[in-house]
Amino acid sequence: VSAHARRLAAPWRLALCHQVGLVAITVALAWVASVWLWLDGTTGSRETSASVWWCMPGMSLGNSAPSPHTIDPGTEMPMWLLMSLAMALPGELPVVQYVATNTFRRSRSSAVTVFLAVYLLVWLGCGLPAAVVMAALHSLPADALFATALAVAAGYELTPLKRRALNRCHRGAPLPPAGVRRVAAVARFGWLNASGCVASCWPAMLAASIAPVVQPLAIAGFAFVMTYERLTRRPRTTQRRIATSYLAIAAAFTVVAF
Amino acid sequence: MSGPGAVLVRREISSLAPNDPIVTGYAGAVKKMRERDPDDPTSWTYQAAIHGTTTTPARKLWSQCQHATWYFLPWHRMFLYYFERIVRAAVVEDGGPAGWTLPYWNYCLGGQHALLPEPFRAPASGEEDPLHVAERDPQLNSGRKGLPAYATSPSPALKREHFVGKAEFGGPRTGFQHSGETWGRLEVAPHNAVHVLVKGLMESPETAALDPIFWLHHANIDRLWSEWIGMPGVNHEDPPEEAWRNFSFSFFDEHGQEVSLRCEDALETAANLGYTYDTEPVPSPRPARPISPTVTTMRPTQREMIGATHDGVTLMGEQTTVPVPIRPEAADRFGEGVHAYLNVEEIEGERNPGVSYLVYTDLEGGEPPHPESPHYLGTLSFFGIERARKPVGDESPHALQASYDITPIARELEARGEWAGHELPVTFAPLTLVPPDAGPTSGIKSSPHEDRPIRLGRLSVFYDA
Repeated sequence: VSAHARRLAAPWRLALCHQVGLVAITVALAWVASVWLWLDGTTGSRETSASVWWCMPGMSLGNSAPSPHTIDPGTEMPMWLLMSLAMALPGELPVVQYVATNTFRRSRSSAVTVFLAVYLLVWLGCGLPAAVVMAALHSLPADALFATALAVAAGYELTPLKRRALNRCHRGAPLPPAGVRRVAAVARFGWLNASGCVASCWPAMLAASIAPVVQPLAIAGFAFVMTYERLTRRPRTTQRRIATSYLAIAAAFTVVAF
Repeated sequence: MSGPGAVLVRREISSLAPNDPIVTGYAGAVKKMRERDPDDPTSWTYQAAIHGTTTTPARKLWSQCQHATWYFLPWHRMFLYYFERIVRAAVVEDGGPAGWTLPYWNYCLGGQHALLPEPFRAPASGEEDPLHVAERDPQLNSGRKGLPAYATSPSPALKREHFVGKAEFGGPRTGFQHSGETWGRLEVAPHNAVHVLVKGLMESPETAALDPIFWLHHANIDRLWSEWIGMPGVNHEDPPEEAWRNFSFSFFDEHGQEVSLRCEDALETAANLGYTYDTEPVPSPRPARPISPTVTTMRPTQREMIGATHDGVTLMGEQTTVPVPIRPEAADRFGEGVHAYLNVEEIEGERNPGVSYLVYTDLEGGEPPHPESPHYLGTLSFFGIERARKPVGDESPHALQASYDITPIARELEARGEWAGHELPVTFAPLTLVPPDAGPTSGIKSSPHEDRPIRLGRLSVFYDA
């Protein structure tokens, strides 16, 4: 465990730029908001806008009966953004440090802003298709659906597609020091990272969205897996272990479902 | 490990006659090991595969070599130690000396020493010689030309004060790293440069250990580590961090048994591993130093970029000078204790072009600097570049980077008023083999490799206070 901890801690041995601290605070706030929304959804009125997060298609509220669902981008997109901030951004903190360090001091904030804007826009762009998919799956039995999603995620872990996507997340980029070319290069770097992350993590995000258990715990679990997989120095071993774990959990849910 | 009192001495190869039992014993052992079952961990191919191989499926402990990491030196020391025991056992089986030790190739001495050692050259009669590898550079194999001083000079490495760091002696702090991102100074040169200039099997980590000269080259690198530690008047120290000292690696001994050794246990070579070099004073046998818990004292470093190129540059075998603009604000932050580093970032290439480059700041009117000049930064070779983007083991792909301490140059330019707001000219000059009587600044010659271009993504200058 200590060896793994050391590997994960490696990116932090340099003094961090304050932009990294701000992004870390943003991630923490996203988690606080997520837990608050969940508590509000389970104890308060389900009609409040805050509870919408936990009423997204497929997102279980205990034993509540499934009901027809219409997609409302105005409420669902902010929730999808919150989920992206909480789950995808922790693994990007070393990349934020990379962008800040490889930029002149006075340009660091703008460079990090451009990078994050592109990164989150790509994730937001995936929100609507995700909502459509989840709406289509809304009426299916939750346990069986979750088990199927996990089995798909386990299989995907072992494919070359997944490996290529994860590799893309590890690419650096020579960033020009100033001017429009710097902005363009940072934006392109944001696109490369985000597209790699989406291609790598979509099954985990989907499974997290439909997990029929306490949602913050499920999302925290998948977020940990996504971040660990992103930062580990032994990707193949990690992917095999993740696939095995997914299959074991899927088997457990299959037993419960049938 | 060898017991107390059994301190053996590794000798420089040129001090040994071709018929010395050390040399003939090595040749006989190489032949014997090559004849062993490839699945035998004491066979030649298995031992070489522990360093690196592309053969699949991988067997136990294959592709373990540590590069671009602070484990580079201890891993290779352990690797050589167990290899030496395997060879010694084979030598003894054939009636050779029980005190056989691995010789080293001290090309750092220049002149005749920079030529390929005679027993490794092409045999005159054309008969098969276990120590000869035909794929090496023909001029090196023939003994007509040798390694240039730019490639063999250990000065830039030996001058480093610290072991750990991107531009420091031993390499940057990492985890287990078969293929890393930033080489330490000793790894850059002479290590990488010699690998590339010898050519053939030596050019790639996946085949290098198949060449018998590999082991003598690494014995010299190991000797330079001992030399750096023992340099008088300076306080050179191995990393105190437990993460380094307690990290262990596994190998096979002469019985084919898997064995492990921690970095800590490989530091006192005479006491713990039972060998020393003929350049070191003969030690009296003594117990190993007791291991005391150490506290990590590495402090976080605040890096700041103060200059960078807008464009990358592609190396294709011609001399290339790249001006790196330094920002005017650089003057304000260059206080006492601040170091300046030149980084060559995002180095990419499909294949090793087989060319090493001299890297220097062009401040002497276009003339290349003497290897002892502060304007001489070192070399840039691409040993292992193939696996940076396509890792062999369980690693993520990454780019390569080289880092050079340019603090003396920056101070010099600052004093001249030519630092902040000016451009730092950095030259990459291709190196080639030289005759044994060549001067220290010889060896620059164009070596086109358009079919294997190397892209340097960016050159940047950082302050690292």
